[in-house]
Amino acid sequence: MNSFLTIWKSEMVNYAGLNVYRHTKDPSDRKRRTALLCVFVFLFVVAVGYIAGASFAFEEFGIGRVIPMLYPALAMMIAFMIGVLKARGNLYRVRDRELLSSLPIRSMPVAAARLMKMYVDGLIAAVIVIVPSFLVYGIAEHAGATFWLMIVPAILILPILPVALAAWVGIAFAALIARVRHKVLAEVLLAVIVVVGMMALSFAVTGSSTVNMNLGAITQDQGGDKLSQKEMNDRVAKQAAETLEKLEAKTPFVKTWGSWFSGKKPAGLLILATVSLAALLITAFVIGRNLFAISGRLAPVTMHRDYKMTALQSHSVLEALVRKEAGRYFSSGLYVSNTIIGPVLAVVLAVVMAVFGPEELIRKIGNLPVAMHPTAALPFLLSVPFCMMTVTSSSISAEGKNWWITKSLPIATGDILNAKLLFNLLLFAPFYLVAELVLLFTVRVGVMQRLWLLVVPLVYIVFAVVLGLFLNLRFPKFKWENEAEVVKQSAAVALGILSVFTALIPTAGLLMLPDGPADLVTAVVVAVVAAATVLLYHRIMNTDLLRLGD
Amino acid sequence: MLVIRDLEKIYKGTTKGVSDISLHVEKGDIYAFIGHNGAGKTTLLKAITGIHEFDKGTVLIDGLDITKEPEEVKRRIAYVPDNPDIYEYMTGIQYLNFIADVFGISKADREARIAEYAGRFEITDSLGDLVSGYSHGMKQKLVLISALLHEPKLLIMDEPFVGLDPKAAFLLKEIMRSMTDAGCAIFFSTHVLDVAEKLCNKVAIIKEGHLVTSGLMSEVVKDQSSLESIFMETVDNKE
Repeated sequence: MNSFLTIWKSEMVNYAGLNVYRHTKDPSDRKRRTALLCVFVFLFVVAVGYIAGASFAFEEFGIGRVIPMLYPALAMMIAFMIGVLKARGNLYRVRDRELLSSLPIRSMPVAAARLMKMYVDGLIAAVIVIVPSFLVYGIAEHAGATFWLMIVPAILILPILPVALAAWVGIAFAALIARVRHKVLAEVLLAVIVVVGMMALSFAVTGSSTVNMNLGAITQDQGGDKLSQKEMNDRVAKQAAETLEKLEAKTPFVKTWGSWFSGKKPAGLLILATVSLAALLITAFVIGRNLFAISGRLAPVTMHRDYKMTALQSHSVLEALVRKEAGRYFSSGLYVSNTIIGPVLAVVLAVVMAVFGPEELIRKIGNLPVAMHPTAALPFLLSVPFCMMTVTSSSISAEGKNWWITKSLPIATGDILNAKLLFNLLLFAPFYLVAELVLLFTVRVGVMQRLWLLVVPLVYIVFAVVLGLFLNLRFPKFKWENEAEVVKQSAAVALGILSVFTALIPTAGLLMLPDGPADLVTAVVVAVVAAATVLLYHRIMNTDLLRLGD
Repeated sequence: MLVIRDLEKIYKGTTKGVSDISLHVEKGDIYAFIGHNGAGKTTLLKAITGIHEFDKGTVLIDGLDITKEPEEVKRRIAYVPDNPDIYEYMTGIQYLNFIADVFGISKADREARIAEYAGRFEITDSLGDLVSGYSHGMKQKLVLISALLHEPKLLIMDEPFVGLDPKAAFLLKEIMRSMTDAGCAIFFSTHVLDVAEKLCNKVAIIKEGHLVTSGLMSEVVKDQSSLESIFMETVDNKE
């Protein structure tokens, strides 16, 4: 128990970077961390507000009983998804394996402590989802004492099972990666499969006819005239109630599940707690058995070959730098998997478009009470995945302790930065070409629309790549312990993701615009984005790299 | 204190590693382990500390088998790696406290020992800073202090003098001598042959994964020769 607590303390001491925030003496680092903390607090408030608002709407439409069914399931789903994304990295770490395995600690408490850290992630998700929704439900339904007494145990119990299940995904991934020689490739493939799988699942659930309501039909009467707000609310409530009844009839467990959390059958919660704890203990036992051995096998292995001097090729400085960028990039599974998802999704999106067609795709995502013009929005929609995560938004920070090499060599700033931009563009190019080729032969659009389909994603790719580098130069982070700190959690990456909105907003706007002005709007947006790219590029080229990382 | 018998560790998919290693480190020994880069020094040190599994052989520390009673063995030893790779998100004092927790050192003892060693290594003022801000030498000092906290019976070190300033290197040598005077044993790898010759009573030389020489320093380095000349002769010998 003592070992477990000691390790758990060491795992939690820097949770969300709080220990570094507390002790850092670097004012710019503190400022950066404060800004990030503010963003997290803001997102927390928004999420809580959204859940409370949605719960209030359920009560307004008279289907409040959906709350104890839906939100515990949602909390579990979020805990599972976070768990899956973090499981492998959290449970099996190469970096501190040697330190821990040289100490007199069994691997079991280490495994348990790491599972507990994952549990805390799930617990936070459960608090965000359950507290506001159950408060609204409890007050609106005048819930009894049993319901109120059960809120805290429910929050504590809900994340356990999903965390245990997510850990099994981590175990499977780690075991698989440990066995293969091409570990980076295996890690990337598995990450892509998980993300695409999650999106497919979400797509399937959203598109399911059981839960999807035709909002377009609700807002108009049979003659096509618009209804008043009250009439519309009544119709929504009626259809929501019917959908819910259909769901309860089709899946009786949904009703039972709801009764566990509404205070009607609290014994169910006890069953869930027992099953969850048993699953967690078994998981900790399985992980603990081979923790250090598997962690050790996750490090990339290099085969020793007796090298014989051969003729060497010479390259231009720019080419040498691009090759260096490629070497750095492909040496890290985390770096590749985090940034390749966007381009892969763009290709997947193109294939889905080819299979279903833009109109059907929009209908599957959900009918909205307005006329839609998906073909006009298609070029922007295709640009969104490319903007999600660029290599450049962490390519400066990724240099880490090696930054001195670049700084000490006689290389012009332009070459260093152009190499980073060029590598990212070369990396995205094949995905862009494949997506375009798929759409070229499958989606039927006019000449102008075809041109936009080619130009818009291209302009956005260049913009996102340049913006990524600009942000990384503004928010560099050379001192890091784990690559995830720069590849996943840095300020530059977080702000870079916002570039998605520059494509999402025109997508949403053009979906609802008539076809006529769509070309004009597209042309204006393309011109603005291109101008912003040129401006950012000039700013980048004027950066004093010698001052970075001092 | 440390008995290594016929140890073999070959990395999977390679022919690299160590084999047929047998050594005996007794109480009071300061045992130097030398060899060129890639000869297998770190591999052997990691195998005997339980960091790496090994394929064949036996490692006994204080009479206990590392493969059968790893926790008990690790309580009696301390390992200082060649690269002080420690939790950079912790402050120096948090790291030392973590190690003290792992070894179950009492509050009074840990306070006294940290105060003593941090004072001697002159890093007391920096203990409240994040390890990420430490220089290589400061991290090395922190790792050395953490290794001394539980008063190990056997201290295993991989290139411990790298990165240390002259004063800290002198202090480490003093600590090593006083530890062995008190009945501990030290087994460490080094490239600083002068230090090894003056400080150690025993030496082992490894070449391409095999021990080529081992024994008392006075027997290995005879008459007018030096450890450096012996080492050069040994590693240059193509057999």
